Amino acid sequence: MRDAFDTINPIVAFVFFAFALVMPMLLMHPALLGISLVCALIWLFMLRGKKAWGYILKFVLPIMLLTAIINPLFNHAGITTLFYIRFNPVTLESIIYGVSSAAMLASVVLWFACFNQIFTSDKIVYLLGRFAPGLSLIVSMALRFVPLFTKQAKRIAAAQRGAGMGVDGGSIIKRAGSGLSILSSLITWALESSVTTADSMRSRGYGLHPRKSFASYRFDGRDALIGGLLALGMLSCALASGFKLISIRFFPSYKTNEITPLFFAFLIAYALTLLIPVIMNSIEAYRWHLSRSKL
Amino acid sequence: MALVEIKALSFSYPGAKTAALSSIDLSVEEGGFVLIAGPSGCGKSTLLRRLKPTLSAHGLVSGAVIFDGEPIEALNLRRQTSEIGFVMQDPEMQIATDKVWHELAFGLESLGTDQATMRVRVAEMANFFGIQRWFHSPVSALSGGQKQLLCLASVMVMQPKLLILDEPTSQLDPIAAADFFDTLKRINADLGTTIIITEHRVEGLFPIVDKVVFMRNGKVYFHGEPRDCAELLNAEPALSAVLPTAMTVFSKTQPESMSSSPAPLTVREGRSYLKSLIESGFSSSKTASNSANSSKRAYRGRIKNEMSKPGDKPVISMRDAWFRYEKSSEDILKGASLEVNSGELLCVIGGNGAGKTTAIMTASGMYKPYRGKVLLDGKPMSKYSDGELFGKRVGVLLQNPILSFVHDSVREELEGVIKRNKLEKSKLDEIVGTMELESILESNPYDISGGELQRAAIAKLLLLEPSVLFLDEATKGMDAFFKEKFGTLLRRLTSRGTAIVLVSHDIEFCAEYADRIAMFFDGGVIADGTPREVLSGNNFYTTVAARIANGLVPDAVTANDLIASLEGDRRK
Repeated sequence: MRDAFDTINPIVAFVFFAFALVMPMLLMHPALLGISLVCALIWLFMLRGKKAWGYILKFVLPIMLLTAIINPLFNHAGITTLFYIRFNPVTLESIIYGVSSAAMLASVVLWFACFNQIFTSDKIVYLLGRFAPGLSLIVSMALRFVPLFTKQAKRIAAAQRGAGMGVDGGSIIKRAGSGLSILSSLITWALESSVTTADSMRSRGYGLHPRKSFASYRFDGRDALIGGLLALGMLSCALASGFKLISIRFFPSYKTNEITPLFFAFLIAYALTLLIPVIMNSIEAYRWHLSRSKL
Repeated sequence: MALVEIKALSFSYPGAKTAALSSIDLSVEEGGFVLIAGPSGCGKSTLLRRLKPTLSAHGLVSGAVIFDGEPIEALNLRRQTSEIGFVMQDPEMQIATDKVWHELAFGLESLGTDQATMRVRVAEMANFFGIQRWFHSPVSALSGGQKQLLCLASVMVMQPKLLILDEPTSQLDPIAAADFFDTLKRINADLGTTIIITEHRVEGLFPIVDKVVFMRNGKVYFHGEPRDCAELLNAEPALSAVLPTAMTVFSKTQPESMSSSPAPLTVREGRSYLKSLIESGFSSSKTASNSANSSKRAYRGRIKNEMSKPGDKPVISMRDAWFRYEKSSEDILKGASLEVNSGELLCVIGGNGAGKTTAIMTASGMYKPYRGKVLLDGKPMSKYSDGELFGKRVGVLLQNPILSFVHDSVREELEGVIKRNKLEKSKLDEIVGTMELESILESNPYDISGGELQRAAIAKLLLLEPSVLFLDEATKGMDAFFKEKFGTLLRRLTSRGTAIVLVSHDIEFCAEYADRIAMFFDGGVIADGTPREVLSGNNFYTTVAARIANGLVPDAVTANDLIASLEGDRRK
């Protein structure tokens, strides 16, 4: 099923991802990290189904373990020494810090996995086009020509092989020579054929000012609503850290803010903001269910 | 009012001794559809580029080009961009962006069109060209024909008054080309856009254009209605290679009594001409059976010659080969069998995706079939190493011959092969002679025409004297004159014992030069025999001449067959 968040305006989506990625980096508070991790996980499973397991086991968990283990081995700050490894103190604070950074890294990686699913090249091109149409065009061209050149290199290798000048045969020097000649052939081809591309672009007015970008996405009421909610969530974060509702210190000793009702209210606001995609998906699924049961 | 007026235009490239264009006078009416024909290097492209100042080459210019009442140099970039559209040969490299929608919007983005207008224009053109279904696709997923349609559409979104096309279908297969011409006809008829096009493939264009211009050596030497070209043919029979088949047959066989009737352009008109010829008592009423007998007699000798000599041992034999690119992908070859005999020109024809290219790649040992056998000189292909196989026994030339060139000149290229394989130096002169490369020996491969490139690439392969040559789409983009030369050359090579396997979409070429034709469909060979055997019975997948002759003159496959058989009747 297509993700509900996929259809949202890329600018709103981008702000959401920026928020989700940056918050854990700014404030490595265990409550924030926990919420961020859980929300990212729920959405990733919605996006990728069972395939998410492979990603988590092969990629996310190793990163977490590595970070959690390495930090206390090399970071000896903190006042609560637990034990020594070869005269080096291992402190409680550095263990906590290691675990927190592991959780932070994991949440960043998980949000990034979601970002990759949602942010196709079209959205990146659109997003850049809003602010820098020239750059957006360059990205779009790179996305076209890098794969094209790769394909062409393969064709050249095949052509050389068919003419008895393949890379597979002969001594190492001979093979290296063949490889070089493929590269040189590719470069010549790229330069020569870029003349055509340049002609075709110029004949369609490339270089005229001001350049605009075709907006393949609209900004509708739903985008405004989501954008507004997102702004509220961000505002609550700013207020919470501004008024020291939430704070954390790792060294020399571990200390967090006091737990107050307002702190809980903030956590709920934060969680709801991060759950926007998940909630959107649930609402959509429920609507489909309703409209079907009416039939 | 004329939209474009060219007055005494002459042009020469810097440092060139001869003028690329000399005193050209031409005017194109608003809403006109003009075909500019002529051999490669006659100045067609140079002329077209003079009509689009951003693409005009520098050099010595005299005379004037007036566009819409103004000298064309006076147009600013904005007007030029929106009012004059230009489509080039190579669809792949004309496309700048990665997505179809982005490419469509490119011109409007440049012009800075506002969002709402941009949306409407893009939507309009996507509809007109039937692009909606692949609007969001990446460009890399499109076929060649779709890419060229996209190039056309991405120009049409700017609503140009004048559309210029420089050999737009030279890289397309015949079906995609026909589609493309249909679209052009629609643009001209439904939108009223003025079109100027150069093209080698004139058969499909003659019926839809309203003016034809012939150029040679930078000069216009004919300018008139398509049907009037028949007169031109009488003066210059060599042009028959360029004109539509029906017209050629007409001008060579037309009796005095019919000299005032208009020349036929299409298969339908060709057939009705042929019918009226037969009915007009020019032959007896029993013509159909008579001519059948006579033409059978006339051809018996030739057919015998065309058959492969008995006792020929196949050099390569592929038996029941199955091939697919990936384990989970679909089979491309489904039990394909193909034999290649020494000294024959075997043409492989068939629609897109029928498996032609894959078949020759498998037969040549480039791909390994996962089931079935390929034997070379009676020994399984897998017993040969790459070094033993490619170059010395089998030469393979892929679709785009430029890919096999590494050096800056044709000479260096050939010398490279000689050095690498420690051949004698004298070989160079020998091959240059056979392949007629003297004039291009010092040229850069990127500066010579497609036909010359093809010859140079084949020369490179021939240095190693392989017993079989595989050529993929070798006639693509060649003009009629080059094709004739190329055909003769292939003939010369086969007469020395080299077997040549040629994949081609050009049925006319295959009918004229092949010893044997193998027709592919759905991953296997469905017909295999002499051109006459394979093509004369087909209704659609055959030459234009055979379609004109179908049921009226049996066994005629090429225009020359048709003319010969009609002249035979006349003599009686």
